[in-house]
Amino acid sequence: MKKTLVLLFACLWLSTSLFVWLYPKQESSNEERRKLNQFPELSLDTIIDGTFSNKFESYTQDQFPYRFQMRQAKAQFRYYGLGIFENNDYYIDGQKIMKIEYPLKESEILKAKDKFETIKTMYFKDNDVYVSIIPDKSYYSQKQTIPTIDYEQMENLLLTDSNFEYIDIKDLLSKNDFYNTDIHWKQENIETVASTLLESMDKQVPEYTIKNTDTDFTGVYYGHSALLTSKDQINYIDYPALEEASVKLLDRDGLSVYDQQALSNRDQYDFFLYGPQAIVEIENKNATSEDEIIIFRDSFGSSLAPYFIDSYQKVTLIDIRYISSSVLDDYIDFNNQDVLFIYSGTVLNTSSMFK
Amino acid sequence: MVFSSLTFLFYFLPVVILAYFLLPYKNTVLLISSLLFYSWGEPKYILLMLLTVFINYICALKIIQNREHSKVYLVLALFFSLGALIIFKYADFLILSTNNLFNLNSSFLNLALPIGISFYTFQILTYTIDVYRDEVKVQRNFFTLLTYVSLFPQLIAGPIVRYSDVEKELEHRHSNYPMIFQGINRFVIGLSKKVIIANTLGEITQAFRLLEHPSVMMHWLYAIAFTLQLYYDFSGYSDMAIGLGKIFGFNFLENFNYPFMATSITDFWRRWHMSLGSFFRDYVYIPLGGSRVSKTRWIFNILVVWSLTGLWHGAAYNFLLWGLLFAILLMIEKFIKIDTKKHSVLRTIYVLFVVVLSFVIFDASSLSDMLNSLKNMLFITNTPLSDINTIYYSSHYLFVFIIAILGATPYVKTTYLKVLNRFSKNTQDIINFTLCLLGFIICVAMLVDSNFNPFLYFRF
Repeated sequence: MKKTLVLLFACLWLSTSLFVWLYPKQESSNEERRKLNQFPELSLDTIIDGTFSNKFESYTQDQFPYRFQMRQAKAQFRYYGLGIFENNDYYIDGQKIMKIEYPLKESEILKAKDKFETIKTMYFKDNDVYVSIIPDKSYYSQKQTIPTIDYEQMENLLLTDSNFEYIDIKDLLSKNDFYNTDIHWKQENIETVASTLLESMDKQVPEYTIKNTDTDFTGVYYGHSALLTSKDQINYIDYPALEEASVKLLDRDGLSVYDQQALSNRDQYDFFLYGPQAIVEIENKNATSEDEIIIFRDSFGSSLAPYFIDSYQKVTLIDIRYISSSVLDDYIDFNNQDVLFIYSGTVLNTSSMFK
Repeated sequence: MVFSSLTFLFYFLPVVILAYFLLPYKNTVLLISSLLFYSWGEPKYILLMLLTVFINYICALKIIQNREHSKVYLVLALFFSLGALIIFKYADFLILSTNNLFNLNSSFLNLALPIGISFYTFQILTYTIDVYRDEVKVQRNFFTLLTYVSLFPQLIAGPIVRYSDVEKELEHRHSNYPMIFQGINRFVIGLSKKVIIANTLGEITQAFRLLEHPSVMMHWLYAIAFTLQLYYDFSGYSDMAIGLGKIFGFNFLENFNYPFMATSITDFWRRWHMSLGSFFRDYVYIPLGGSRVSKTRWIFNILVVWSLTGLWHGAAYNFLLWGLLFAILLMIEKFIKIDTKKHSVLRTIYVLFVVVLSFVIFDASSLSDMLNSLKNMLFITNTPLSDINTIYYSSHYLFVFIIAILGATPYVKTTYLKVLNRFSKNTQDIINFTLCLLGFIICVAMLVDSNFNPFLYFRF
């Protein structure tokens, strides 16, 4: 019997090894949203200095057959075998994949505050400037033993000795307002947030209908966590002004508000206003006012902005992670616009990326 | 390259196994594969290892040929082998100590530490010294000797295999299916200990190191996690080495024997890293006179051996203190003459307490860091007792701690064997095989998704 089992093990193992060597190599991973390591450069220099051997292990990990399924198996074993429900800093609460965001980095929040004040001083000396923070999804988790960012402290740091008008939206959300598999909130669930923000600026949310893209959506948390949960669907709000609005990016214009093309791409959330863009201008000639608004934002702003289009003739979205704040006046004519800084706590906690 | 890597499991080992069992020149296959294994991680310093082996090879031949001057050749072998170890491992520590002592400002050499130098140096010295003592026959074939030293199952992280233990097997060994079956089982057990338990516990130690102000209980959680991580990491690696050895027909000696069941520090060191302990006993302690000397000389011998044991683990003061701590406790135990038949539970608790604290010293990045940790653990500071991190790690990793603690006792194995013995031999083999396969698959899945996979004893 031992002979049979040894030979069986050897056959399984050797054939698996052969399969690993011959399995077609992948350029990138849709689930992890990144390029996968390829076979490293092989030369005498890279062998002697150890570069080849160092990179080879990363290559074997990235190119392992059914890598994503193996990662899911690991996540399941951690949960059911070891009793650890966290995997790579992600965990599941109900159906929602959450990320552990901790601790609060006070120096980063102060940097963000400095940046906002600098921008205000440069461009909006006399304007009312509104600030709002979007808590990360895990803030709403019911798992009490998970450490989360202290948002009260974040607010204190951002607002102490500042001229910003703060709009607190923490209590307007719950974990069900976020996608299962993504960091972002669901556009159809943030009417109260949009309404609160607009009302601060004497505006209102329009009447709209909710439409479905009829596309399964797996967000960024799905691939990174390898945890099992049900997929999402992207719904979006629609009203007549949205269909007539015209979107202009830095490199093209005459676009619609929603990017249907993105639904077949890797990052389906880019459906909302074309994803990561330095500057997006949305013009609506049929707006209920002639006012304009500038929203300094991260990706959450992409799904929030469509609520504003009805009330403003022009909505300008700026992401200062992709464009230096010192050159904004080369692109934008600053006058008496309403100004809103709205960022997720996660981005504020790493504000060193602001330019 | 480490055993717990996809490179080793699916690229290196399959080729070596096939070549070993299909080709006639088994030692040649082992030698070439071992040199490849070493140069994979250490292409530059393979020459140092080759030179060390060559010098010892020549010295051992000269010892036999020239008995009158055999001591000269022994000293030459020791001088070169230990000299290389001292230069690469301890030069900067000695420069730092000299700078501190004499207020100098000499610059450091910043030499990279060749992988496994502590292990292969001791290994080749066991050969040369045993030849000098006439305890083993000299090996006239350089390549056979090189195969022994460079043997990849135990080259970079032990156990320290003495030449005398494998002398016969180097020339005449055989693998049979029961041995290979045992070897595979042992290898997968070691791999599981390392990947499933040690790496998971390592998440706690890594998280602890990133915390700015850990609570008192977090310090304790880290200390226990690190102690268990070190055990599973190192004993897991030893299991893999022993398992691989069996597959190739070698019978390496055990390196761990349930050290956390020890009822005294003396007992602990008879169960933890046994190959290192026996090396220092046979090649340092006994030549110094052992315990058959005056009390003062005995104390000196203990202090020397344990200072060296500490420093073998690392070139820093905390390792020296770690070694000396054990020296003092061993001396106290010897003087007190504990009745080993009484209060075994209390004594085990005492051993565990000391061992956990000692590994905090072992892991400290500096003396001030060490003192800070110990003060926190002994409630000598105003640090809060607990915080959200403590709650998180203690609650979420509780089951892992339970598995790790139970697995560190012999009860899991004895219970498993009791249950297994209810079945026929064939069924037992099938159960073992199934569990082995399952363990292997789980380990592979964890390695595919792993960015954290160190071997803690790799740095020696």
